[in-house]
Amino acid sequence: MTRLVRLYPRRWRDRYEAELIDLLEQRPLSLGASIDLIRGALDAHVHPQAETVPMPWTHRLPGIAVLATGLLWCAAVLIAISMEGSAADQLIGLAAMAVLLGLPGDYMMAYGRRIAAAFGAIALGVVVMFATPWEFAVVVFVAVVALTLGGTLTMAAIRAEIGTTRRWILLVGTVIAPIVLATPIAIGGVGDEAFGRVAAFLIALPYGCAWALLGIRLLVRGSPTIIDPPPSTSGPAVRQEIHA
Amino acid sequence: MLDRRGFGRFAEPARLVLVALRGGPRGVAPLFDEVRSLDGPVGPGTLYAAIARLEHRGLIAPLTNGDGRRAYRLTDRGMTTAVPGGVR
Repeated sequence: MTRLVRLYPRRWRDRYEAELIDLLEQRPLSLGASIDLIRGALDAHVHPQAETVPMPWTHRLPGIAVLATGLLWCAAVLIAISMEGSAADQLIGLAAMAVLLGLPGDYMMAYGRRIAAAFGAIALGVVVMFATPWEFAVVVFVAVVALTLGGTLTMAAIRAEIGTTRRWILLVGTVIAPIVLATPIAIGGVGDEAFGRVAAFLIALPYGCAWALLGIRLLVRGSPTIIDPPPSTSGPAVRQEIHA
Repeated sequence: MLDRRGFGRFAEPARLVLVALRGGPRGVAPLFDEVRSLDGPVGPGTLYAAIARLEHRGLIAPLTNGDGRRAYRLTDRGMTTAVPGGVR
C-alpha cells in the first residue's frame, strides 16, 4: 500500500510521506483504505495545501544556474557550428562558471571522496595526454572528456533527484553514445571542418539540452543551497507528554 | 470556531482531529485510532487531508516524539477552536 503514497504530489510527499508510510506500516489497512488513499491523493492534487508552504528564493538558484549552463552550452555549440570566432569559447567559459554555481549542495559532502577521485582521474588524464604518443593521447582525451561531461551531468542529475536508472539512461543518451558515435567521425575526418562540426553537434548539443532539462526540473522543485536562510520555527517549543 | 470553508468533505474528520488532540499531543497512529473510534472507518487519506488543512491554517503543529516519530499538538489557535462548542 505504501506505493500508493507515490500518487501524492511531490511537495505533499516532501512534507508528509515519511509519517504516512510510518502510519501504514503500523496499521496495515484494507482495500477500502487503499481507495481512501487514492482519493486523498486526488484531493492533494486538486487542493494542494502543502504547496502553499513558501519555498526560500535561494532554492531556485541551483535551477537557474543549471538551466543557464544548458542554454549557454547549446548557444555555444550552435555558434561554433554555424560561424567562426571566439564567441563560442566565451560562452563555453560562462557555461563552465554556471556549472560551478549550480553544483554545490549537501551531496557534495556526501560524495566528497568520489568527486575528489574523479578530479584526480581527470588531472592524471591531462598529464598522461601530454606525455604519450598521439594515438594513445586521443584515447585518453576521449576518456577525460567523457569523465568530465558525465561526472558533472551526474552531479546535476543527483541534485535534481533523478533516480539511478534514469541517470544512467541520461548519461548513455547524452554523453556515452554521442561520444562513441562521434569519435570515429572526428578521427576519420581530421582536417575536414565539416566532419568536426558534425561530431561537435552529435556530442555537445544533446549534452546541453540535458542540462537545460535538469535546470527546468530543479527550478520547479527547488533545491537547498549553502546560503539558505535558517529554517523558521512554527512557534515556541512545547514540552508536553505525547501519547505515542 | 472551526471555519469549515476550504475543508469540504474533510470538515468532520478535521473537527475530530481537533477533538482527539484536546487531550494532548498524539502520535500519528494513536491519533488515527482515536479518530476512527470517534467516527468509524476514516481512512489514512482522509486523515491526512484533514491534517494538512489544519496544519495549513495553523490549528495544529507537528512535533517529534521520543522515538523519532511524528506527532501533532494543538496550537493556541487550535485550542480555542477545539473547546467544546468551538467547532461548528
